[in-house]
Amino acid sequence: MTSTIPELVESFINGDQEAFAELVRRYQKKIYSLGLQVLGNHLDADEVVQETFVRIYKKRKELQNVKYFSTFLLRIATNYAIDLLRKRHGHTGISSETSSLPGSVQLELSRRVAMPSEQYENKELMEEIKAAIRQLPPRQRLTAILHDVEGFSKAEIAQALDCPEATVRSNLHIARRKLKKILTQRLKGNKEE
Amino acid sequence: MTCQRALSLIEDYIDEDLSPAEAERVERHLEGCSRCREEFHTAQRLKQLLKQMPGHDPGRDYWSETARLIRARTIDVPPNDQQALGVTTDVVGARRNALVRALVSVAASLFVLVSAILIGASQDQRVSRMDTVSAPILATAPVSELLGADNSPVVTRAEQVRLAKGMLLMGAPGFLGRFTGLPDLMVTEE
Repeated sequence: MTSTIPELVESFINGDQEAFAELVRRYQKKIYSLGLQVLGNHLDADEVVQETFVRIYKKRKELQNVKYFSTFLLRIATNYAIDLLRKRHGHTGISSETSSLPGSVQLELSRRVAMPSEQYENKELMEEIKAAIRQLPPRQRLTAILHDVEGFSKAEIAQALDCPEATVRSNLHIARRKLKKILTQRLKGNKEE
Repeated sequence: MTCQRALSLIEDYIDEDLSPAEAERVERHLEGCSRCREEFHTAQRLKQLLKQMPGHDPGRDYWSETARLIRARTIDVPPNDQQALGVTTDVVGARRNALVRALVSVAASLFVLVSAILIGASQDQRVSRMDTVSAPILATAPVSELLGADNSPVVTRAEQVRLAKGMLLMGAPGFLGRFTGLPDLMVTEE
């Protein structure tokens, strides 16, 4: 029978190492996606995934006081992503830094790059949106990505970023306004298509 | 509803954060106001595009490799090394230990400081044993300025060099500058 997240968390706190491994399996894609959207390249996203789970492992006793594991995880991941973003400062381009990956992974990636993605309704437009997002300051960028791209609620984001929900609303509003300004022509042009 | 009010609620409307009654009021306004409707479409389009932002799946091999690496850095680390890794099985205990270590460090620093002050104070105002000068000389006096009965410098160049070396050995002037052993360094082997 598949265990629920709270069951896995409880087992993990009580020393069940396999429960931790299962939590990694269930959440690593989500954290990778967040890291990739925020930092814009595979290697940094990979670092966010690994560091987030290593930190979770170190803080396992703190999980006893945590109501929602996903929010706790999100907080650790976002904090690390922000730190990395500030450290990189300017190095945020989507890159093809895949040379250090295992051959099979590189092959998989190249296959994906070669394939016209079904999600890419308009690749050029997507690149413009990514570039626009990269112009936002870290907190606004993270808030917009968490809410509009990853689909987290404002309450979840407030908990993850350890700030009031009103701050999340404000950051989101400012981020959207900036994005609209940067993408004005594209948004209007696309609407008319 | 005014345009200003409608525009301020458009994002909440798109995010479905409005009450049904409020959402209905916004809808009614949008039906009759082309300018606000245009703003609504722009905001909605942006949100749709952000939602469609392509994810990137590095593939099955990547996920299994990542899970293996995380395991190697956590579960597979021997228990003894986990302490070095920073894994705290007892967070409260670890914090308490850190506090004790900090207190011991502070106490040791204070001990050294107080000892230095006491040593310095006990050595204070000691008179040099140099008997070539009529007036008592404090060890802190600039020895290069001391003159003998014939107005010649008491301290020769070679002695000054030895004194400087002695000062270097004893540390900076201050507590240790009063150290009474310093004049002894000036005694020549003549």
